[in-house]
Amino acid sequence: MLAKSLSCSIIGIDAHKVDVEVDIAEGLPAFNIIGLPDTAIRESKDRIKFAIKNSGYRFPRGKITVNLAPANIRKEGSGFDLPITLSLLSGFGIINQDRLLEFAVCGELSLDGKLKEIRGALPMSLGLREKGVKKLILPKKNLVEVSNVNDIKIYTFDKLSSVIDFLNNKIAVEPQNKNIRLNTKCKSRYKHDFTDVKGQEHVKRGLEVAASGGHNALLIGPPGSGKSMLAKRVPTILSEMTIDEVLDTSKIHSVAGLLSPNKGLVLNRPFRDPHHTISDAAFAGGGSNPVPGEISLAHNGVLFLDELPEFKRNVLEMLRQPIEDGRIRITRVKNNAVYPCRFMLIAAMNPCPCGYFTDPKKECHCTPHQIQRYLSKISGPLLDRIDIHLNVPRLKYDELSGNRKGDSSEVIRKHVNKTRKIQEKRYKNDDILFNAHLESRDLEKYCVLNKEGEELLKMAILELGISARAYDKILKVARTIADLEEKETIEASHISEAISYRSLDRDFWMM
Amino acid sequence: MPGGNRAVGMQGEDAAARFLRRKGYSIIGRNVKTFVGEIDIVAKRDSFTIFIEVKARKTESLGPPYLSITNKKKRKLIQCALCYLKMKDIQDVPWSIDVISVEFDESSGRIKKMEHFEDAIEE
Repeated sequence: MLAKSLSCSIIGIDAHKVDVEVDIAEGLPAFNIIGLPDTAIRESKDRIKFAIKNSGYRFPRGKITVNLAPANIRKEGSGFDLPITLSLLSGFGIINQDRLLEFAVCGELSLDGKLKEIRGALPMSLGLREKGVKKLILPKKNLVEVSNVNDIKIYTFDKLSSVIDFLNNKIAVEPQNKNIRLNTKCKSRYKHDFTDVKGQEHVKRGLEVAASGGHNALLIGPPGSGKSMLAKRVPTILSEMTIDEVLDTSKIHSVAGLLSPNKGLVLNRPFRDPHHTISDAAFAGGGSNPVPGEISLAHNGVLFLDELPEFKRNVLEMLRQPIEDGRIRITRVKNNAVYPCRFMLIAAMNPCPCGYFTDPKKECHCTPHQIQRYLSKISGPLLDRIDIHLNVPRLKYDELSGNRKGDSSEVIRKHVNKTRKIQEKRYKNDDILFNAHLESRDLEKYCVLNKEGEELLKMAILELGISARAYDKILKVARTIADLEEKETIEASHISEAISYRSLDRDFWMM
Repeated sequence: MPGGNRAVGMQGEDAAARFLRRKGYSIIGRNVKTFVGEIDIVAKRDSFTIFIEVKARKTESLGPPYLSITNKKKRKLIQCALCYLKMKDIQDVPWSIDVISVEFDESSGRIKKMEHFEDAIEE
């Protein structure tokens, strides 16, 4: 007796159709699963046996062989429990084979026959829809996650016996996804706001510039000056996520198993702040069955690296390519996967090991050698990818106690949105999203200075010892500042502000 | 007591055969010899051919009888069954290996407990 059902496996964040074929032959009872299953799938036979028994059916007797086709791609996860079970029951005549083949099926079983949530339900439903599948059966616990997917009928169930009854037309179930098109913009809600931060107006301005032009930023300051607090609020000034961004980010979170059952999609721009003890694989993604790392979880959001020099050097160096490409390919012996990772990098650090080098009140006890070693952890190429350096000083008493509040996140976000629109329009014919992505050859075309600006820049290079590398950066940042003011040519004031964001080039640590 | 274990074994097999008949199995053979080893009981029910290994014990000190079926014994039983099927030239029939575990009371010699494990051995 041969039976078949359709399921799906996730590689990276892409769904691949998998046929679950079952043959029940005569012979000594056996249960073998072939077709590159991982351990979780191999163990599924024990779950399936008891789930069938505890749902009130008899486990079919015979030599059972399950084949997951195509046999050359590696299957992983517990989502194959349900399709294998249904094929088995179909092979045994309990379920109608033709009816079963109308659906794609995914779900994990528990011993008592209940359906458990699976990882990656969102990319599965989107991927299967693209591959022309019309109907999908999923566990009820994945409903919220997939409820906004349209053009595919999704039926969810909480136990095996109801799936069987449904397939046998004993109970009628309507597709449960809302099947409505989401607005192109999604309403984000954040707990934080920029008005929570007192003082530090120039840092807020710097972050506004960074957010507008897609520049990465580095915050330098003594302990307790509010670096983390500021960084945490950067997602609130980024533009609202578009529906594509929401789906992309949610897909990654779904594959990582981070979507909570009642919250559904990721509507807020993610803010990831991994601890500096993080391992390479957790950071960039990895494992023999690849899973996305922190940089991918921060896709379309902010990756915040607090205490930057404390990170392992090889972890930081891994950032270089992903920042350029906006995606990372994880290649292992048996598998490879591509995860997108277009994030805004915000890093924070102390100016020296004790933290008080730039503090006017508290004395720094570090020797020049110690400071040198501290800073040497951050390589030039990495620093090269950070356009904006912001000095975050300790707050004075009247700033702390004062009631002066800066602009709220909403106001700043409006500026950011406007600036991003200008860039979109300007670069519509180029493969550029933001000013930060400008190459040296584009600078001549897009960063036109007026006379005063040119003279100021020349003076800065001569007087402040600014390198060629910094020259490009200053132009890019100045471009963004000019965009914020809706000016087409870059003026002296823009250049001077941009120079102020390059504190690390201006021999910041001259000793 | 030499030979005591064998006697217990025979007693157990008799009891198991009676038990199977009551359950509606028809016994095809007892102590069937194959090239690989001996099969305690070969029975039939519906279309199934069932090979039964009987484990009987009088003492409790070694635990329940079915525990003494090791992986090596399982492999042996499968080989025996395959050999039997080949000998009789039986193909494409469903078959399985069951285990019946019989416990006797040490003093009275009566059957204390009889357990039947269907499909006890899988590939």
